[in-house]
Amino acid sequence: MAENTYQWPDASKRKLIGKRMNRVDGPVKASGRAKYTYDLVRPNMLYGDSVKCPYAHARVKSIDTSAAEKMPGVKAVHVIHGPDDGAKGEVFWAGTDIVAVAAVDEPTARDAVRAIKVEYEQLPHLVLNDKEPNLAEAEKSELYKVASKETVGDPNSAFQQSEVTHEGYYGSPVITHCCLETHGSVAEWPDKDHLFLHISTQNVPGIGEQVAKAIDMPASNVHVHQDHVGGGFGSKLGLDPWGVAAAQLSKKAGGVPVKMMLNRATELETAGCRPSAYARVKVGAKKDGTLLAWESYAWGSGGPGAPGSLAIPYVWKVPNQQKQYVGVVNHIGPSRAWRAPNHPQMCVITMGALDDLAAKLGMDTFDFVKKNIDLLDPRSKIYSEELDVANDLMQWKARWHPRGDSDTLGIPMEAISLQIGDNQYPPDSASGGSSTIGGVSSATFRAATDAKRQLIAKVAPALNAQPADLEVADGRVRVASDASRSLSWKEACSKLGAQTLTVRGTNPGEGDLTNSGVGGVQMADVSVDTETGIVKINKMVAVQDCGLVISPKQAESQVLGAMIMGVSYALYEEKVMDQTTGTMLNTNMDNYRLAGIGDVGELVVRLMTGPGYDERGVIGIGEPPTVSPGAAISNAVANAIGVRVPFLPLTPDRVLEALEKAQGEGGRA
Amino acid sequence: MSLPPFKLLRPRSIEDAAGYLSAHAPDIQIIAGGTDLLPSMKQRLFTPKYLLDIRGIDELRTIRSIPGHGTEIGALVTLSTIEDSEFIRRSYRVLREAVATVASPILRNMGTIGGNICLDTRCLWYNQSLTWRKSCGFCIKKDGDLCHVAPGGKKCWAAFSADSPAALLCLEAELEIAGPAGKRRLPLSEFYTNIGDARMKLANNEMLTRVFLPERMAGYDGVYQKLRLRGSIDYPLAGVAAALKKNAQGIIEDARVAITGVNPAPLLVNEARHALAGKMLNDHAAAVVGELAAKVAKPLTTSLLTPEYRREMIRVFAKRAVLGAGTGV
Ligand SMILES: Cc1cc2nc3c(=O)[nH]c(=O)nc-3n(C[C@H](O)[C@H](O)[C@H](O)COP(=O)(O)OP(=O)(O)OC[C@H]3O[C@@H](n4cnc5c(N)ncnc54)[C@H](O)[C@@H]3O)c2cc1C
Repeated sequence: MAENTYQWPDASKRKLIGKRMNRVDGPVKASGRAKYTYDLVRPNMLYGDSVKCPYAHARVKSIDTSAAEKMPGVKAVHVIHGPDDGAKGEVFWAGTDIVAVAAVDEPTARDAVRAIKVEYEQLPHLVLNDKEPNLAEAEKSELYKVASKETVGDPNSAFQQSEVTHEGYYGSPVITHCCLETHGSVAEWPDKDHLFLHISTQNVPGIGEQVAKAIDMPASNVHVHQDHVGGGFGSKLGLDPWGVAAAQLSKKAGGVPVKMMLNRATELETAGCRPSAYARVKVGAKKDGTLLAWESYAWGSGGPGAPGSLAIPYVWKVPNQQKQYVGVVNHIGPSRAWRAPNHPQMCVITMGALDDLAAKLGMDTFDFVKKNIDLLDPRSKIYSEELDVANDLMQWKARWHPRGDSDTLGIPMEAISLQIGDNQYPPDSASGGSSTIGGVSSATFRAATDAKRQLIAKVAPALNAQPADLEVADGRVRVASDASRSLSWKEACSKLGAQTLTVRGTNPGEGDLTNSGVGGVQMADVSVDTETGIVKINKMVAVQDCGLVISPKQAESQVLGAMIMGVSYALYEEKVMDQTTGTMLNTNMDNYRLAGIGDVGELVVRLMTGPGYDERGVIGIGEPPTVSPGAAISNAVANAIGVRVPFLPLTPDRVLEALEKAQGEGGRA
Repeated sequence: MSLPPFKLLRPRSIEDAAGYLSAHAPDIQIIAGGTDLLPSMKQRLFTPKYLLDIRGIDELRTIRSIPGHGTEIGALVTLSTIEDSEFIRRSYRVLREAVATVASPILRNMGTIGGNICLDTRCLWYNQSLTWRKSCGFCIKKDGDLCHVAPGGKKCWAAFSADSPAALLCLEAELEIAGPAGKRRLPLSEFYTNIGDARMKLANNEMLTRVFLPERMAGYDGVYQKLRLRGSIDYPLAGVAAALKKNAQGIIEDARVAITGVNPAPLLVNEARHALAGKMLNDHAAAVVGELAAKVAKPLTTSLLTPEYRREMIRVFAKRAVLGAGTGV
């Protein structure tokens, strides 16, 4: 039977969908045989390096490259950011590329960089992060972008009706992306009109056009190649100055390959930057837990362009809200999309405030969420089901106890938080926005369906049947009503003759194969040493909906990876800035800490499948599970020690400070 | 980041090594496991003309017990060999405990005890790339004359950040050092200077060859406690070693406590010995030692944690280490 429309097969007819399969590229990656852009060595390759601005805020006054250009072994010099570039040579963060060079080897390139003279005019910088901006002052300053006040319902009277209110601070700092493979590319010109680019990117289909535009050439003349990408997390979607520079240098050097890869310090300093988000929040509810009102004054930084407003309260449709947001323009670095852009930050603020409110109400957060589940429309049902599954996996109800109700040392506690996925982003061709599975598998499925249809049409005469009577099963093309009349796949394909079938699937396209918006629930069980402030993760549970699960093992791996990344940003990650020099202090991996396997505890993943989930088609899984670990861990710590540690990461000194403050205030909040 | 160019020399004997050192000092640097030196060379903290790879000197790879005297550990013995040694665990437990907290298993497979003892001091403003250091105007420890940690100061405060020396101080270890004039011995407690940019009393034509653990210190109970943000891997942000011996009645006969990770040198907490000797071990006695250790600790902002916090952790960990050593935990 040939299908007229595209439709995911019913559960009973699925062969590979939903089976546990290994990653095809698992063995080459695990054994180190996979070649990344970083590994490439092309014939006659030159090595690129660059002069970087040492100041967080400055103006390039003059550049003298003459000495470098005369050095033996230096093949090309290219000014990236001259006195006339941008806003009169203005530089907005330390580490900005100013001049690039290409030389026969790395030491020569380094010497050339040293020989270039750049004169700067230093300008005042702002690298403050968590300090609450004064609204009246912010309105007068260029460094702040005050968004207009938003009101939903009648917050004033809702707070008056509230029997219990809570006020607190919540937030997450700027963190960097920290890809395993740093950013960079190898560029070469096979002839004067064509560019061949190996580049570490999440955006193979789109990056060529971006380069073409930057150097004013036809996009069709750019050939982009990449075998593997060593992580991107949103930081490798767009084109970077060093990517353009590699192409320019190669051109100037007569087309020979030029390799331009960032080193780790530069990667941390300039190639990744998740905006910060902080808020002072007030929430109000009735004694029975009914959530009535939300008020927030939020701020955040995202580098030279202040970020837009935050969508808080996150996911919760609180009936009455009053919100004000101030974007801070600063010199911490250029912001980039980070795995579910802004969602983890918004979740930390929202779930922190609601968890504190539940604690003040004397309620288990689990019950508080269930009580207000309708405010999670349109995914109330999904969240409710997931809460029950997570409860089983964590033994939440059996183990929960009120906040701070524990001994002094080594207290294992649980906490809960909610999150939602974010397929609001239109699926695009880049691998980002959790659209890969939605985009790729749907397109693949359509392509496969089309190919099957065309194949059947070709072989029907050989089986003396109409195309509509045929089906493909068990590696054979056969007459549906008479399985004895069949051809093996190979025989069938041979009927195609010399003409191969080329079919391209697209997404979006016909048929309801994808959906958007997912829900997930995560719980964390932590121990906090109240004498040292050190937090240890014992166990985390993630219950995640992502529609139809194509490859469970890979989907689960995505969730596991997200949880590990979540532990890192909850406990360790922060781009620490020196206020005096305006530079990042922790530009190496011993001070910019990521969780090791010994730090992540037991991780349990459960994907929601079956009726109610599968028929939504494929959604996305890359981003949603990174949303809630921060909130879950922060809430677990609050439950364990009886007081909120307002800002991530939950470093031990901050934990102790929060404890001391609570004790100073005469008891636990 | 790539390594700067250098010539590699590979002696097979202590004599050959000493010859190379004398011939090329100060343009020569010793490399053992390389776990600390190589990352530092990539950051251009060291750009020696010659690297002296001493791993070919087989006689420095063994742990040997000399009845009546003690135990000798060759400078090239890896940290994992010490960690896995049943003899060390039984006789010098505090050392085993400290070594087991260093870095990660694979780094302990490469890292040597000699390298750990001679580990460079560390600072937020020093362990950075050349470009980064340059952009901040360098510092006293390397290429510059200002200190970002103690502005206006002339002394380098980079923190000594190896774990095992705190344990070795508790064990009254001695070092064997080879130089142009042959070998000399020096108590470990006299080896460090407590100056961040000239950390040890080792001439540039000398090398550390062996560590001796005296027999009189064998059999002490010992515990090492370390402040680190990650359980999986981290240099010590504060470390405390405690070793003690009790009699049958549970009275402490002798005790040692040493700290690391906070000052430019690992240091014995001298008063701890007297505070504990002759006492029953209890919370109060341990708390007293905690205070004494915190008094010795002088951390500055060489790391991202505040000095106040690290000092407080010396107090907490000294207390815990003493209690742990006393109860065999
Ligand atoms: C990620 C990471 C984490 C780490 N964590 C820790 C930690 O938690 N605790 C800790 O203590 N260390 C840590 N280290 C540092 C290091 O791994 C260990 O200290 C190790 O023991 C160093 O030994 P090595 O043989 O590798 O030394 P090398 O790197 O070879 O040498 C270190 C220094 O000692 C000198 N040296 C070596 N041998 C001799 C000798 N025989 N005579 C004279 N000078 C000598 C070298 O010239 C060099 O200056 C860490 C390192 C890394 C990369």
